[in-house]
Amino acid sequence: MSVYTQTLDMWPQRGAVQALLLGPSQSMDGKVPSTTAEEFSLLLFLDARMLTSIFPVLLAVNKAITAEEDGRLRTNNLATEILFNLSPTTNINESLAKYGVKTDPHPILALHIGPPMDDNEGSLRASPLLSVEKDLGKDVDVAALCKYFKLDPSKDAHDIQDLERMIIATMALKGVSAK
Amino acid sequence: MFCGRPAIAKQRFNKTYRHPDLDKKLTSRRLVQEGRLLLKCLKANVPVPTIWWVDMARLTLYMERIDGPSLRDYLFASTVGWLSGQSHTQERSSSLSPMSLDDGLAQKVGESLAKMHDANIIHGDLTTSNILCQGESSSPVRVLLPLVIIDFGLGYISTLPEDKAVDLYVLERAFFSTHPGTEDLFQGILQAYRKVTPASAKAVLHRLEDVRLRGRKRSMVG
Repeated sequence: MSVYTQTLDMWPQRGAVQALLLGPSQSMDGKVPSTTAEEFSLLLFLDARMLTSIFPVLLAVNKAITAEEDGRLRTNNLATEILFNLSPTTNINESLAKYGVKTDPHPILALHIGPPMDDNEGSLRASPLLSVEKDLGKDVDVAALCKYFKLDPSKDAHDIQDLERMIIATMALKGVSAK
Repeated sequence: MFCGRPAIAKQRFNKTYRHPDLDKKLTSRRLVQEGRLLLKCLKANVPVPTIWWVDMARLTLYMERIDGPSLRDYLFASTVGWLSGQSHTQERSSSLSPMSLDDGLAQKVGESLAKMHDANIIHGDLTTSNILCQGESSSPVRVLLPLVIIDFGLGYISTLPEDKAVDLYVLERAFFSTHPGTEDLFQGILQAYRKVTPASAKAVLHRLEDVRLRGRKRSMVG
């Protein structure tokens, strides 16, 4: 399975965003992987049940990198800023709890931000993986997302695209206020 | 392209003729207001582009790109297409006569505006250029396309029938000045508007009569 790679148009000097989707059988058996941040490279694990597609993640990454470049990070580092950007609230702990990896078996989205890695690099690719573009969003927990984003599942979430549009717009307007 | 998808970046520039403090305040307020109205429209099921990111540092809104002609171009093309007989060569099954096209179009515009006003959103600059017909540019002109309302830069929230009536009046003026002979189409829009929200539409359309008599601006005398 090929790695999903996307270069951010605004920040090409920051390398690329690479994503791998691990199925529940490749989960961490109760061991939560730690997030490691190097100078220009970052590895992050997200609960794939809270993601409708890769697009909201890319928006969150782009927003986080922009905040870092502008010196306006609202959390401690880029990894937590990405998780924070994905959530509708300004509660950092809650965002980490919702989007971070849990101990029960579930699909995980592994995200690498930095210089693109070769196919031979990294141990995660040794196991069979799911397709980010086709499979991410299949296991989405609609009820949990609707509750978290305060959406009405009968009205706002007719299909996954509608739900995603609401989520993205809510993410975009979070913490935005006129000066 | 933005994060791999076609996007529109709407940047607000500094107006040098305004005092810098006032300019900063107005620009950021309008930017935020536009973003909030787009989200409110989305929640009210009004067809608008999805807002992706509000970059306050660069005064830029990033949103979904809607491909397709504006309603202005669409109406013009459909009129010209029909008159020149080009549409006879297109697929008869998928095409509509001008009458049924107008009915469908009026229905869609009226419904969208009614939903928008029902959510107390005032567009502020309703013209046929600010309504897009989403679809391939190569689509036959007589096929009805989904409509999307854009540019909420002058929009605001109001519960007053007066503001909603002025919104409709601005659209009416735009229709009559840009597309002569569309009186029936606009009447169809008002009928569809009335059908979606009968209770509130009554007050708005009653007020529209007054606005037509005096114009968009209210008299401040007395």
